[in-house]
Amino acid sequence: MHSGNSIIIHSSAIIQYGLKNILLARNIAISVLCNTLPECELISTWKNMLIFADTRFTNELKKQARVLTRNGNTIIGIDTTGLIHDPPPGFDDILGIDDHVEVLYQKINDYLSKVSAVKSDNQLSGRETEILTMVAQGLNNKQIAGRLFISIHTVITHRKNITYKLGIKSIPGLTLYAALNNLVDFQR
Amino acid sequence: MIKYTNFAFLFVFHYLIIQNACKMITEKDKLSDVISLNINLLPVIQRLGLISQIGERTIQEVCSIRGKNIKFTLGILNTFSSADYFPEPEDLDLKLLIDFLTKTHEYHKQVTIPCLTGLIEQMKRMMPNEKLLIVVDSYLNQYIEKLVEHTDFEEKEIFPLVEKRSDGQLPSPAPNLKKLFKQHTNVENEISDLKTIIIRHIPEYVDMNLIHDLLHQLSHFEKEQFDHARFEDKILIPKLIALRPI
Repeated sequence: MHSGNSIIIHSSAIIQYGLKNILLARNIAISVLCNTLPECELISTWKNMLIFADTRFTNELKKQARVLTRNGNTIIGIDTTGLIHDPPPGFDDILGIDDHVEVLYQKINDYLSKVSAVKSDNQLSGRETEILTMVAQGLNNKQIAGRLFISIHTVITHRKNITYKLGIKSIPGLTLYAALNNLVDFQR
Repeated sequence: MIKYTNFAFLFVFHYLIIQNACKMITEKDKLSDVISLNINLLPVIQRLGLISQIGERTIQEVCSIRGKNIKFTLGILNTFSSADYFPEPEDLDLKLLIDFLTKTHEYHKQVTIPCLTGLIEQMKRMMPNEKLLIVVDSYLNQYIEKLVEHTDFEEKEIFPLVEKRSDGQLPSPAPNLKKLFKQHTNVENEISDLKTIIIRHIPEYVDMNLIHDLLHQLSHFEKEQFDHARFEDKILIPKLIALRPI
């Protein structure tokens, strides 16, 4: 399951559920279903997502386009008028209401390969995972350096990379992430 | 000639748009318009003691009826409505600021935190074995403990310094202001991280309305914490440092 990677922003329930079923048939789970565009603070936390949005939100999305693109998101417009054939500014592609289901599947596969490529750059290395686990266990930089026979400077570099890749800055946040990804026992 | 006219028209048009976007809240604005334009200001206005008798009145009129300091009110409203704005320190009376910050602590303890824990509880009742909800619940409880400890520290150690100054007493020993700075950074980052993690791990069959409410509340809380810390770090602490015995 390509879980937690899609967001649908559309006021029409028919379009929301139709698109959701098409995505589920391709094993893509939906993270968020919205009727309107959420607040900027929330949008800035989206990373490596497939965002399907009504083209009526073009003006609002254009303002967020830089942040969304920088965070590895792919933004696909949903056109219900049948009049828009090229992606509006801020959108990467366009899905038309009259598109055949096979065309939709093909387009969605293309988007997925793009998102996966971005995601692999954000994947933690083995060493980073090891250090993240130790941070979640409550070890400080000096203790981690001692256990792994590396310098504190190297530990700090790894930790910076972990924060950059995961977008998580605090130690409790890293611990929560490690617990959810079974790197540590979450009941501890 | 036509070209220049068009250019001038476009220039004026853009200037007006920019002016409108950067418009500051002034004493002549209607309070109801300010709330309509930014509904997130409602709890701030409540903490300023300006709720009720809003009607068609301007901010100046409401302040006058309620006996509130207009410069202080505008300083707070503009800071909360624009991330780029920063009030002149002399516009913010320290005693009023302490009162406002204390009310903000109360608001988070009485309103924001129960709202967040209530939403998690509601979801847990529907999905008792969902790992995300169990760990988020535990994370939030630990966060609340730290937040309460932090606000208690401020209310017991930092805020009374203003009273002491007014009475001509110098604080001794000096409070640990560096500790306060560090705590503010952690408080903001932890909420932002929580939001990021929830978004990435949303369970497939969860009630989306509840998740949306939770993320919305977290976003609002994060913004409130950010603005609250701005007041304390940029105005309160520099003023207090200036008071410390040499």
